[in-house]
Amino acid sequence: MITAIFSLALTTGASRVIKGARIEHVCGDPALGEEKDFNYRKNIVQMALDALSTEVTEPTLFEPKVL
Amino acid sequence: MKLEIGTFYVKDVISSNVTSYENETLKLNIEEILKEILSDRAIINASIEIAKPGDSTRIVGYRDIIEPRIKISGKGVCYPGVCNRSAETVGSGTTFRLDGVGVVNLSDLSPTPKKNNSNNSKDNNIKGINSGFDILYDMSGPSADIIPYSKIINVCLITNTDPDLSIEKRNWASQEATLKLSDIISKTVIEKKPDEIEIFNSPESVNPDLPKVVYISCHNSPEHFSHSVSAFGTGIYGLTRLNAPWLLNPNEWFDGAVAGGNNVSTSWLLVNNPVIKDLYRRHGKEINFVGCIAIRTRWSHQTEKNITSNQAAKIASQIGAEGAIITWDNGGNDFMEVIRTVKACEDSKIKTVFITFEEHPDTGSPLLETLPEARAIVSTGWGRNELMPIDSIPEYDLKLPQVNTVIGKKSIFANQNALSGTIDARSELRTYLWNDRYGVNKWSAFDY
Repeated sequence: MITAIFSLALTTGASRVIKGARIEHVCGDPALGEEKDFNYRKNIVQMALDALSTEVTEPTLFEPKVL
Repeated sequence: MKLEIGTFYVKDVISSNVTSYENETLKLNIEEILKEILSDRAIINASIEIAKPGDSTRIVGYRDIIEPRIKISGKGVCYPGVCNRSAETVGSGTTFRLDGVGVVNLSDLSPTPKKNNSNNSKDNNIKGINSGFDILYDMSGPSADIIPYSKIINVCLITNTDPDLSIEKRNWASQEATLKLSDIISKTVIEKKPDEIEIFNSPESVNPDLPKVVYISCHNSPEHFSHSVSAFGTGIYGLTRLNAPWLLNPNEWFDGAVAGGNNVSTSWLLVNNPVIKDLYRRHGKEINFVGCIAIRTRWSHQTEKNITSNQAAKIASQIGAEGAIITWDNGGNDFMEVIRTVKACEDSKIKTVFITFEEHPDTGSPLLETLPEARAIVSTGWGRNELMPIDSIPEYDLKLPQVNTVIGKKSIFANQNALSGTIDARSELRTYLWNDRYGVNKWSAFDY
């Protein structure tokens, strides 16, 4: 689950939680400018895909790089 | 800080050629009052209607309800900060209040800039904030028993604001007009002797044998969607933006330092907050009431939410609190700051009691996030029963009787006639009908 409010996802038992940006723009940050925002978005989605193939035993937080 | 509150009971409100208060009757020279309201060029149209408990009347689309209050001595004005009113710190001296009457802000205006202002626009009803201002209550019938505004005389001010102005200016104008009317009413009692006087001597004397208790109130900020910095939503000294936690003297509440309507709160409710009154009444007997902390909710980043909660708990620790009572006034992601404030207090060895409504019983947990630290919870109920609609299930549609008169918006969401009895609720409105947040009504709950 990609979410800005990751604490809720963790306490409610989502197995793989990807830290998103803000509630208004979960998968990216327009303040970064077009190019950096694209990379950030790509990092988030890539981390989500990597997380899917990662074995977890409890709700686990994954933190994508912003830059 | 010592505050003396003089109460005048209002049993009737009538139209007259002089605005005055005598023998529990408030007389209003409506023509003269409207002239004063219309002297603001941002108000292009205004009218006043009076609704009394027991009337077959539905009030639709109220933005705020204000209890007339006025400072007789001491610094500042009641309902400070908002609409260029004095920002002087309030809470000391003498304040007079009129009990049993509320000035209702009814405007055709949507408080956000994006949506159409038409009453009939479907667009108005898509998201909670606009439909939130289609919230309604009846002055009689089954719902009148549970909604506190049905039990007071409503002096309704219906305004139209200049559509060429910005939303901020229009929000401002409609709230300023309502405050102006509240001031006109409260001025009628300046020279009179109140029916009742209550003295609130704020928490200076502390009995070392009793535990210290703080009240933490959480207030939604409409900053993200309102584009209004002060005139719409619940403000603290008029400020509605997201900002750091405030340490307030409980007396400041009685002078309206925390005021302004949002989806579920009104100024009337906030100045009559029963939690603060009850904490005061127990001060020195069962507890030491050491103060109030107000926090803003609906930050949009996890870190901001955590900072807010942690700072609220830090301030509570710093003033020596051993116990905290926590309330909140909205829904959804606002809950994150609220429940984490409970946790942060408990982690700081401050025992908490959390006063909250419950989520829809069919959706699982009664709280959005259940943390083990929230051990003592007072439920104000689910807030909706067979009177209140759930989703689009016909048998749960709002079952209110047909009424003779509608004050405010004549149609509500999805173009429905506001007079009709059964209301097909397919908008967010359903969640904003009435939710008790401070324990003001008479309902009690069963244990789980």
